[in-house]
Amino acid sequence: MRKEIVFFIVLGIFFVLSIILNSQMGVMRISFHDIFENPAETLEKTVFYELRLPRILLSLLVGGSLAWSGALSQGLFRNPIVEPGLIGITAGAALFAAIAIVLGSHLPFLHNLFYIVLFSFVGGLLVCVIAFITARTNGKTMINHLLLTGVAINILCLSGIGILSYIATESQLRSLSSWNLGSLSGANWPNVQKFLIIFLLPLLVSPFIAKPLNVLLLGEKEAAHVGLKTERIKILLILLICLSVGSSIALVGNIGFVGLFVPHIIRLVIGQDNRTLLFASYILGASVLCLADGICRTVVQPTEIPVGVVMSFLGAPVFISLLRKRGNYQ
Amino acid sequence: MRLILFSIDADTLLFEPWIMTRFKPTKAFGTLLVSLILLSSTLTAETPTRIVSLNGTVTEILFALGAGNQVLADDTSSYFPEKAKTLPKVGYQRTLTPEAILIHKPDLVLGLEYAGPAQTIQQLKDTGINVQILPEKLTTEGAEERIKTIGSLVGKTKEANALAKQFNSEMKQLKIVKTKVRVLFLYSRSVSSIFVAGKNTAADVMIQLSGAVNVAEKISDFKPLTPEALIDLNPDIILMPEISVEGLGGENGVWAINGMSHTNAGKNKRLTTMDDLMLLGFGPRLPQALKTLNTKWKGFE
Repeated sequence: MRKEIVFFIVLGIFFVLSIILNSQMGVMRISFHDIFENPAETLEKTVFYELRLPRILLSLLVGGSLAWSGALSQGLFRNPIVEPGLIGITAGAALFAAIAIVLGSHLPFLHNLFYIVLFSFVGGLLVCVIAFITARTNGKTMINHLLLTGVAINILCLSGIGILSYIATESQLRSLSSWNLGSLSGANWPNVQKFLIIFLLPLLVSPFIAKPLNVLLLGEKEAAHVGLKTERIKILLILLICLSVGSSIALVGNIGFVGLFVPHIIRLVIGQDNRTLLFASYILGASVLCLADGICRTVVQPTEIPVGVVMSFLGAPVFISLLRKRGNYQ
Repeated sequence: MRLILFSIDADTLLFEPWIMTRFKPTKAFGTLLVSLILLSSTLTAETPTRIVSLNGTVTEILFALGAGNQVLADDTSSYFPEKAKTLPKVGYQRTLTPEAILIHKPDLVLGLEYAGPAQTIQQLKDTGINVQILPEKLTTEGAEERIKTIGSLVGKTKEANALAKQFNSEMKQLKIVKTKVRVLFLYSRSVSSIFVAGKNTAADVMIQLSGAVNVAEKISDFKPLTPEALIDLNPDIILMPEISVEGLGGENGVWAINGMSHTNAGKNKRLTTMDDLMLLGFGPRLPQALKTLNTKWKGFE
């Protein structure tokens, strides 16, 4: 218990710190005086409130949602190495978002960002359902099958994106490639407002799904004996994962890894209990992406590198060293 | 607004001792002076003095009009004239970030329609800065028009008219001889990605204006080049921007492209290179570029 309290205090400090650091990163130096005290409408103030702040918020929301989706899929498949990317949800959502980018002008219903996000969600869902159906034998979800199906679907979707990038115009190609590695540079207030509820949904539903998820960890049969409606729960979880991942991908592009290593780190430190795991994953994911976005704006000034790249650079070494240190936590 | 206030302050500082010592100013004279100062400061407010240029051709035109000292920063495609190289860079015109531009506190951001990504341009506009994105016109009239447009935007109308006139007379003096030389324009960043220029590209227009035939005219835009297509197109001569040749490791890299040795150009090792901005920029040096190319083609006939 004490360990958990300490962990949450550290997590809270990291969360606040990442926001402060992000607000101070970038080409323009924006002092706290400009942000809070200066009554004059300076350019620095405009840049902070119109560009940087929505970007910070979006990074928190998206990072949190992605890490939370990762935690959820690990719980759902009872396997700590699963993340939405591995079972193809990411690729499915990505393919559909790419279709929207390249063929959007030919499809009458794809003129509005909100519909693109919805379309992306449908893509993720479709792929997830396919993976799930293929991986089920005798009423059990075979994790090996699931991962292999995921790999195949990933390859298929990537090929689809490849074809799309071939027929894309130059400007579409550029948005495809920047989006392929993830970028939060499109963040603005309307986007944050529109999708706020989707990205806050994880925090709202976590208290209700944590217990069933814990029961599910025992195994499906056992959970059913306890009286859990396993099928219903699983469908709900899949919908939630697809909604979070699909929306994130359509909005900011493909940001990998955060869904895998954030929940993993939390598991290694405070254990498997979903009542704390889900919430902590959200907060840590939010902080990590916020920090990564700050870094990506600073490293190659005056331009920026895709945040997905920074994410991998940050995440992979931490993840590997943690695994080496305390690899056997099951 | 701040600019107006600032210039009034500066003017007042400059004028005050001078007024006090040489003249016994009447009230009317004072009013006149103040209004003159106000007038001059509104004029300076309308003439942008903190320009950020987002395109090499735009930068070239700005310098040609004598507005180079009004340019604070430019993008990486701006490398002509020499002084444009030394200005602070805001990144590449297609992958811009708003903060890199805003940090220079510009009163005019000037680019062509390549400037992007779209969201960055939108964000710049949202901050209330004067952002002017000019359309790309791949014609000599368009190039002349662009000189005038930029001139009017930066308070150099007179200079722009003179430059446009000079441009026009240079174009008229060009004696372009139509040739049957079949040219292929290649653009590449590395050996693995070589593109040919078809219709609707600056390169295609340049080949035609300079009196040659673009062998890739059946293709539109830039398309990846396959060795078989290269052999099939069989160009007499290869045209490339200098930077692309460097990217392939020099001229030998061009001849080493798969299929090249089976074309007329490859057999005779005929390659023409030109500086990117001069060749594709449709800037003030367009007549010069066309003349150079046409002379080359005539030499190969």
